[in-house]
Amino acid sequence: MGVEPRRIRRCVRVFFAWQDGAEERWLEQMAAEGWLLARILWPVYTFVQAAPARLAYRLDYRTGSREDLDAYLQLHRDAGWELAARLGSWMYFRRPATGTAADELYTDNRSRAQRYRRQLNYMLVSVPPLLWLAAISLQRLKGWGAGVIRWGLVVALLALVYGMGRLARTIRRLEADPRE
Amino acid sequence: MTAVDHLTPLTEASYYILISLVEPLHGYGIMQKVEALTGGRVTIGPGTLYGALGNLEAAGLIRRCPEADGGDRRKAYVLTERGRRVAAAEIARLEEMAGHGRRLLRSGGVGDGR
Repeated sequence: MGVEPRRIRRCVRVFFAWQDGAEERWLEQMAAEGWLLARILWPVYTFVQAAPARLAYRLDYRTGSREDLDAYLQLHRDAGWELAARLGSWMYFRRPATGTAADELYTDNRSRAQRYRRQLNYMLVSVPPLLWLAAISLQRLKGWGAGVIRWGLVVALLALVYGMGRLARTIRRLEADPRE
Repeated sequence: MTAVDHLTPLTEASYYILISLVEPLHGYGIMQKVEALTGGRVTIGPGTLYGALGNLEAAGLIRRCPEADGGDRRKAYVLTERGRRVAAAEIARLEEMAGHGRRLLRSGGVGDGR
């Protein structure tokens, strides 16, 4: 038995902001089948082959300074979480699953709501630039490509608004839950 | 410094983080201390802890304590005077709640509303 080159598998996947739970389950399923997430270069996910493992994957949405990032990652490392990959502000953490509260980054509803609110605020900020781009494309662009760009912008805006609605509903549900 | 009104009553996690910081500790130190103090009943995840530290610091209840950082990436925090006052008020509130509960449950709870 020599040292075999590690087998690699690539998957294309589009991930929407309101699907963090589905994304976590998918990555856990991949780990159970022996594929460990190594890198995300949107929309391509790269996995390396490893022994099948029961892992907990959790996504966090983080906005903050570069200096805070070190302390943030260190705290997660200390708590047993490995940063598997990053996708913009999305942090993909994993650890061996225990089936207890240790498998969660957020352990009360108040902080869960705050996490989704952070994400919602970030999405709100991106609405005006998209609208501005849409206005520019309507005024300036002519011809064949213009239609494609216009429809692309319309789809992006609709997805954004839909995602914000989903997030707002999640936040309301969490904040109404009497358990912290 | 923002108002503390939106933080009180403190969540269970924030309360335990606050009282843990009578001595300077970094994030993981807080997690371990709370776990030991409550015999494992209260677990604070790193996301919740990181957010709570930010909230408590913004409200002036805790402050960074660079002299206790230890030269690595871990940031240490410690209770402020204001944080101590808020913790004391919270303890008084919890004691009052516990006292009311004990008194009413001991009275038998059979319509004795006096």
